[in-house]
Amino acid sequence: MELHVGSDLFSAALAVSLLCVFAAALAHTYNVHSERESTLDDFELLLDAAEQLRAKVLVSADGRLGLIEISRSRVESYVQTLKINGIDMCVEIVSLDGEQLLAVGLSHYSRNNYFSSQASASFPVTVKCENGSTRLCELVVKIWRV
Amino acid sequence: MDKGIGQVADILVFALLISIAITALSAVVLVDLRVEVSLYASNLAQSTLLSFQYSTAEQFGGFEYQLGAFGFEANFPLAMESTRRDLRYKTLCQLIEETALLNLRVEVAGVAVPLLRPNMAMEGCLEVLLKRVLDLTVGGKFEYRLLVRTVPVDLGFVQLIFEMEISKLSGTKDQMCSETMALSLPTTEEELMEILRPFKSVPSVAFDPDPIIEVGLELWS
Repeated sequence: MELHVGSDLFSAALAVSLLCVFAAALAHTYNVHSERESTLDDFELLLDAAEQLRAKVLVSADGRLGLIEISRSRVESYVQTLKINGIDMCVEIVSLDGEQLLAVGLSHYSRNNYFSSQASASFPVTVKCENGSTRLCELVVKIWRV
Repeated sequence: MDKGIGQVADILVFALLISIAITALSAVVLVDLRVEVSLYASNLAQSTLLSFQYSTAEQFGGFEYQLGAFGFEANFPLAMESTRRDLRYKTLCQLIEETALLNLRVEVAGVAVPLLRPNMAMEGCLEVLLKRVLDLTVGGKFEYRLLVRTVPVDLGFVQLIFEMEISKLSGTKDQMCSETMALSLPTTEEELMEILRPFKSVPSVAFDPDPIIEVGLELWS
């Protein structure tokens, strides 16, 4: 066996460099992928929480799906339940002309959103008013892990 | 010389393998992103269709139109007052049902038969109203297409149909979701028979006892 100092060392260095590049790319992609998976999990959790709010927590007394009644106490109780499981949440109901009808957990959100990733989404909901009329509003839900 | 060529070939194969591996991994990441958007779009479309059931036209500037026939509308004040229908108190679903019922079209062998449709203006007004609602609810996030159609009463050579499409689509897009809601067409077999009375050979058993209207909302990104 014969060692060619010039060409063999060059080949070895090249192979090692390429391996390093590949390893770095692999690590980066894996990192991005796991971050995406975590974001996706958070997002699925957010969609579940929003669905719970619309279909159970805020559902109108006559149980009609899609129609909600605003209840601060029920939302606060639900937010507390999630908090016990390590998930913080803020909920807002805003009318289409920008009037805020309900806001729960907003102060927590402004304090914590610098330190953890958060997911947020908004959905149209029909709110049943006290006089029996209905109003199309936007339900804004934001969650983050504590 | 041969050895050099061999090394270059090795390097190229190695680089090719790296490229394939990176491409495969990147594809996985991109697929996840689409799943997330698609999940949200599906939820948003469902919420929007549900909100149609309880939101009245009043919140979106009202809903009124003039009765007319063959495109003719009475333009003198007394007649305008008596032929105006103000339906601001109705929900969007009720308006869709009523518009579909009052604007059913008859097609014989694929050719539309002109009928006296005094509520023709209702269809145009509903399109404007639904577009306004969709722009407010989903318009800022996705492009959309709303399809309203009756499941056609198909009697072979005669069809009784209603179709309406409202869309805001520009260029080639990816469809994120398609959600459908079924409403019942508020009519009876006798009323449908009345529309088809000129076509004597229609068998009465041909009707679905509970004809429905499909309201489909597609979101595109």
